[in-house]
Amino acid sequence: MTEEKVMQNNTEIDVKKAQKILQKVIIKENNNIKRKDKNDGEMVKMIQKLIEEEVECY
Amino acid sequence: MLLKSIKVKDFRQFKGEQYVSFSVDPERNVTIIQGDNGAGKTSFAQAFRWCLYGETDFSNKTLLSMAVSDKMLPGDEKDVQVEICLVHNNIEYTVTRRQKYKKDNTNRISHVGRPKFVISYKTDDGNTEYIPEVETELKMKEILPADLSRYFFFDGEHIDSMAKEIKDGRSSDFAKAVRSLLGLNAFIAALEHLKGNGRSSVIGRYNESYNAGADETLSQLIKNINTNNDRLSAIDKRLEELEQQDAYANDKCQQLRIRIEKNQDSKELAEERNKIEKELAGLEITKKEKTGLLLKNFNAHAPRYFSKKMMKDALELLKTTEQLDKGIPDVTAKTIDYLLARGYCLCGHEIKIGDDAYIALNKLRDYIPPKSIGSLISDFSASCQDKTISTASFFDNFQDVIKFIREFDNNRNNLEDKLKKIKERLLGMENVGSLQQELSNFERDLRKNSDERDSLNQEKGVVQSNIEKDEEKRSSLAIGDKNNRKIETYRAYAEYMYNILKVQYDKKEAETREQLANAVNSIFKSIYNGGFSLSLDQKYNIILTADERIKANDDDTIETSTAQSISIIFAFISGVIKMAKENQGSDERLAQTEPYPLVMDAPLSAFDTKRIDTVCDVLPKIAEQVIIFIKDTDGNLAEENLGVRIGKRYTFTKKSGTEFETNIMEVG
Repeated sequence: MTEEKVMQNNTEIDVKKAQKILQKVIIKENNNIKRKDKNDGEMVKMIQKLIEEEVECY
Repeated sequence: MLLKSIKVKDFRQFKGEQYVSFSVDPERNVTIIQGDNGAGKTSFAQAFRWCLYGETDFSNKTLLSMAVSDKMLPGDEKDVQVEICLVHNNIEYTVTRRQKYKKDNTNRISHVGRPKFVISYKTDDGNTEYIPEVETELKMKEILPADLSRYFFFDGEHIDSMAKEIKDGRSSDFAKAVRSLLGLNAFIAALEHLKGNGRSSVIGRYNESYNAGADETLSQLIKNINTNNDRLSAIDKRLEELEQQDAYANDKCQQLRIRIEKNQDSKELAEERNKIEKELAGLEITKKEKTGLLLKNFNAHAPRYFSKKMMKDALELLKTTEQLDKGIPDVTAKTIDYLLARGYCLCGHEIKIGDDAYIALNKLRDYIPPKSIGSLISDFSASCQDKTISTASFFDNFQDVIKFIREFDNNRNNLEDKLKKIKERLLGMENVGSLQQELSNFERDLRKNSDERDSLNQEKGVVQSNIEKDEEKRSSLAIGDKNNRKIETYRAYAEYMYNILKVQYDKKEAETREQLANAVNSIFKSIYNGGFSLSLDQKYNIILTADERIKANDDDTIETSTAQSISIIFAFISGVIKMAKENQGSDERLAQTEPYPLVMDAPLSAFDTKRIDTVCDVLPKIAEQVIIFIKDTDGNLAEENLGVRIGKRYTFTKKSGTEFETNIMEVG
């Protein structure tokens, strides 16, 4: 069974959250490959947005 | 993407509107289009490419039907149009390309403006919507990119280049295209967006977002990390370039080694040629010398030699000289002069100028020294003897030189014959020396690249280690600032996601490649069945291996034939299609694929009867849809072998009396 928390660069990562973001990223990438509606810069910003929305910061 | 129908209007041989509906029945998924040579099968196959991508292979780019253009008056305009109805991602699209043509006052037909490209689709509620004009090319790229289309719209003319590309796979786009067909593009794009592209990736942008404030150490660390990341990107880029250069150089080396081996004989032949040329030149010089000597000898001795007979005869004659000699012994011209001057003879007879005694004495002068004929004859005899002696060896010498010259001619003719034959053999051969030089240059480039790669990899290790150390320090310094803590967290998530995605991608890619390799090999064996196996390397290059039995017989040499090349292409494309078809129903959302049709122009011509059986059996099972253009003579074969899988049949018939008009008719 996958550990729920792991350390990455001295930061605790919630594995489930990371997987969830990743799943969304792949779906968005798949859609973009089909539709080509976003360029690379826009896709990068979109992934940042997905991470920032999902990861709670204190 | 599956094709539902195509409608052509005034396109090449197809006057007016003509229509073909393709079978989409899964059990009878083959559409056969049959026609005589020149009936327009290839033109019709090109109609797909023109409609979808605006490209054709026609040398005459005018697409307007000649039957139509011939009847146009100056100033008249006509449209050529191809409309394809297809299904992609469960949406029905209609793709239309239209080009206007006009006849000018000189009866010349020329196109008017650019072709119009329109894509419409049916919404769930049955309405028709249009893709905005600026997005049509992108939409087509999404449905089936042009660079992949030629594998699905397959024509016999490109077999060799396609087979080579599939086997060599040198084009960097090739592996990318294959991964794309296998549905791995999303992985690649996500990895690239997370960490690739230096500062413009997610991690790159987070690296630039730290706020150093007044903290000089943090500021320096951020600067160092960014500089090192830039260097890392540059190293990776250069390593990629080196890999491409190596692939090119290795390919060239391989080709050159084959050419050198093939032309190895030319090296020996060239040496032999040089030897003969040298020998001929030596012979020519000797001949020149000998001829010079011969002429000199001839000029010097020939007259004497040839006068030998005359001298002999003369000497014979002169044996009688005593009778001819009228001189008085010991009386010389001086004696005569004395007597004439004294005025009387020895006998006391007076001598007067002009009298008989005077004349007689003067006449006597001709027979006494210095004008004595006897002495002249004696001198002549001596001279004749000398001359005879000096020409004694003339004939033998002359004969020797002539013999040499005759032999020289024979030798030269033999050598020239030999030289001619060598030159003829060398004519089709390449100069191994220059090939060797070229090979050495490429091998030197490879060594140079290898050294540069080693040094770059070493530097990469140092730079990565510096980045890690600096990031560690930056992490501890970032804790003090709330914004920096956030960035640190986001960046850590991005890093983590990148790492696990990379692992997933590598695993998925390896699995997919293995599945594809198995599928391709199994299809190849069922089609070709010639004692060979196919496998795939990491770059999706196809490796053709001879089975043990063939190896033992054929000395490891793998000969390729058109049938083998076409089988490799079929196996590869069918393998990709098979996997795309299998993945289609998969719940896995990471890899998404589409079914694709196989549209083939005259695919059966390259195969023998046995292989046609297997090709016809295998392809319809693998591909979701098969559209085959065949010539009349292959019709029975196709019918016999594909019969139960044929859903639709069409024939192309040339209109009688015209070369440029074809009618399409559905059969059965």
